[in-house]
Amino acid sequence: MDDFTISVISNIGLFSFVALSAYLLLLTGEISFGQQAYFALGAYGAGIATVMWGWPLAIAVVWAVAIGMAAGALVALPTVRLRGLYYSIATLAFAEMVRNAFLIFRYRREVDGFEVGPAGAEGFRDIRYIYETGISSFEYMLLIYALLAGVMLLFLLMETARLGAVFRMIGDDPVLAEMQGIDVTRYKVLAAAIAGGIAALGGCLYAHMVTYVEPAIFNVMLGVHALAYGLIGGLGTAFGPILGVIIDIGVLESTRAFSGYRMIVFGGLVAVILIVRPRGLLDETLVHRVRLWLRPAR
Amino acid sequence: MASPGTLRIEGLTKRFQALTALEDVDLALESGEALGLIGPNGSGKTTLFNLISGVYPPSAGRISFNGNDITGDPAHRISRRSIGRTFQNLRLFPRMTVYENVRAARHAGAPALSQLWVGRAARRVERDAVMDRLAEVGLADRAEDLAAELPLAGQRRLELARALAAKPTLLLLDEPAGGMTPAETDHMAEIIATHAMPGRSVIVVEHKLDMLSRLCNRLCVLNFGRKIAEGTADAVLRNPDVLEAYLGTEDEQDRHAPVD
Amino acid sequence: MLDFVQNLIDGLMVGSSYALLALGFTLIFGAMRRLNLSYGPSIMVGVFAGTLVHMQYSAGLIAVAAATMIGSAIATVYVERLCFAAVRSGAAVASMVSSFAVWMQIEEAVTLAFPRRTYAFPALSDAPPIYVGELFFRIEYVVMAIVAALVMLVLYAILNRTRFGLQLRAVSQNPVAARYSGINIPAVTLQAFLLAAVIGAIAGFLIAGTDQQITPRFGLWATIKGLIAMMLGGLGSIPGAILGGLLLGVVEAQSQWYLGTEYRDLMAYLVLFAFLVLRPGGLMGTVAVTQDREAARRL
Repeated sequence: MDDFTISVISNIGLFSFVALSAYLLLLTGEISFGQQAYFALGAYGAGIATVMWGWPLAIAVVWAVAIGMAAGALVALPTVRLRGLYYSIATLAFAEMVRNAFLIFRYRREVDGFEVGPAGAEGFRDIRYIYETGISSFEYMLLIYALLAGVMLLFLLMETARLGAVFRMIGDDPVLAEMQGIDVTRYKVLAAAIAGGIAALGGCLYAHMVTYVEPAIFNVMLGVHALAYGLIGGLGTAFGPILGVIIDIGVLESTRAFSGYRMIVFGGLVAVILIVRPRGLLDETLVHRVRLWLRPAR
Repeated sequence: MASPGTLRIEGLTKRFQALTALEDVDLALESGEALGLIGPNGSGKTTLFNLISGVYPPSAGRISFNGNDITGDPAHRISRRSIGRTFQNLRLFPRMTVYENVRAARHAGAPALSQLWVGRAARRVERDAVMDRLAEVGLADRAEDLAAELPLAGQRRLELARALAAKPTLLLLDEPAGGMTPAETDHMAEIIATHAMPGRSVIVVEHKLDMLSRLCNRLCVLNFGRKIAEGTADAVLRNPDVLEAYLGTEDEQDRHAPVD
Repeated sequence: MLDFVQNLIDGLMVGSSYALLALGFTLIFGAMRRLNLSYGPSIMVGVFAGTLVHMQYSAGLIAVAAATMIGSAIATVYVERLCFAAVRSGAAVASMVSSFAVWMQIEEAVTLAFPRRTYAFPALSDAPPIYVGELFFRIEYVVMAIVAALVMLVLYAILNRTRFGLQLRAVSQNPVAARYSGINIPAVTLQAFLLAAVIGAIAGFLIAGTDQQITPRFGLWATIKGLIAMMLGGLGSIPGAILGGLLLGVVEAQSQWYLGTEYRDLMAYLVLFAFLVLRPGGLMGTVAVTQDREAARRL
């Protein structure tokens, strides 16, 4: 496999984490413009851990997820009671606060004779753990997909068990869900924490693949893209957001078929898809039909 | 502790800004009793249900259930105290199957993380319970359809099945036969009489008085947010205040104005 | 103290252009109860049309302003048809995401047409600042504030004195009742989008004329500023949009002066976040919150 293919496939994997993060919140009926914040926190947090504190990547991954979950829960506590657009804009404000804070944030120290660490707007260079430990880009791709598979397993488990149904109930009609005895606030905080953890996991993996991150990467564009992936791919299954990522990065960007005007094609495609299927390609009705077809008699 | 299904309401008042939707209403319901609640549109019936089930807190007054004060408790806690309800303007999870809609009522009270995994035995118990409720309302053969695909009468019966699945000791039915044909109404009344009423207290809001007098031994009448009469069906329907409240509003009811 | 007053004045004057952007958002939101993320990019198209007229024909300010309005009106009609008129009712999220996708389209199209990225825009005025005591007023800011105030007056007249204004207010307060009373909702909606496009174009013209340059990133900038200002003021409230814009201008000016440029946006977002959490209705909250009866109606 050549380097280009590996990088495209790796990118699809990495952006799937943010897309899944935004998708989980979409299931609970919340439109977040701010999942890039947790992606950024994971990237910086894990980068600092491996570069400056000399932690192994495995621990840094856990650390990043913990940061993301904690931040997701903390932001959710004051924002869960906000409805609709108010919630969306609050998440946007938070994410932009995080990005602007990283523009100011400097934490430098000398490691092995070099000064390293986040340097405000200049970004955070030399997150070189995988190169120093001799992990090949192919092996790293496998690692990304192993962790993505773990996240997908979590989603599939959720869908077959009750938690997924609870999230969907809250998304459909929070008041009705509340009347079924569900503590909606608590589940929304839980969803936000899980979503934060997933995005941070992606950020951690992203930082170590590209070795350099700067605050500008984590702007609103990333967050809205993440949201759009779920909505294009479909809200019926966790494969939806991944399909969205594949359409954008896998097909349009990598084939270079529309180089120069890729966004014109992508934008038009999305607009048309949403006219025909407002809840995405793999929406709930389609997923329901497929499920019936796979399992005719239950 | 009072026997299950006992409801006591004292001085219940609800104001929305300038509008007083419910004013100083007292109501008592004994265990196993069936009460019919009538009144013109906008008289506060649904507001009363919303207050009992905790959609919003009252402006004044007290609600106690089984001897416990539940005034102002959040809806999920009230639901876990085994108060179930249906809605005048149908609330289902339209993108879920009929089966999943009934199962939804069985999440009550389980701790957050225990929901990630449901064992095989528990699943079978759950499945049997859900299918029993669906059979009672005659929807067992449609379990795998999406809720949105059911006709109106079916959706109302599904709502009832969902409410029953939570095993409520107090059931609030908000126009269970609203929008139904006479035949469908009869069917619904029969389902309520055989499956919903035994062993629990029930309050029914309904404009169809013959259905109400068949189900309930006592009626309560609201008008402009106040209780204007209460007693046996015959006595209430002969009450001059009730007649006055209803005359002149009779034709408005037929329009199914989405007020209240 | 003098610094504070100077910042306050500058902030209010810059804020008047934010207020115009917020008004455009509010008009669209009022008509559709949906968010048009492509609002800023549509204005950006207009501003580039203005630049084009300026470069090709070295046209005067009036012609540039006219081109700006026409450009943003055309882009807005495209967005409205594709993302709002065509998307099913009840799919507000789909509309919003679709408007974002079209934003990407517009931004790339403009970048292809104007490959140098940064282009000159004619200055509103090159007169020196006026001094009043120890305070000084930049002429561009003064023009901006005066024009913005005029636009607000005209908008007030449109909303309160014309048939269209009455219809728009009816649609935004109760779409169902509006339809039953014979109002052609799609037509009113399109007109609201066009009105928003013209207001936005004026704001874009004033801002680009002050900066004297324009890049395709202006779309993002305008969407974000307009959104923040609208939310600060209270979703759906016209006076709120104006107050929100002014407040945003003042917060930016003060924090830039006292804390430094790098804190300017951070403080703006911090204030926004605090407002949303502590006073979700914004400055003019009660109006907007009572209008948003979604939850109550579903019961």
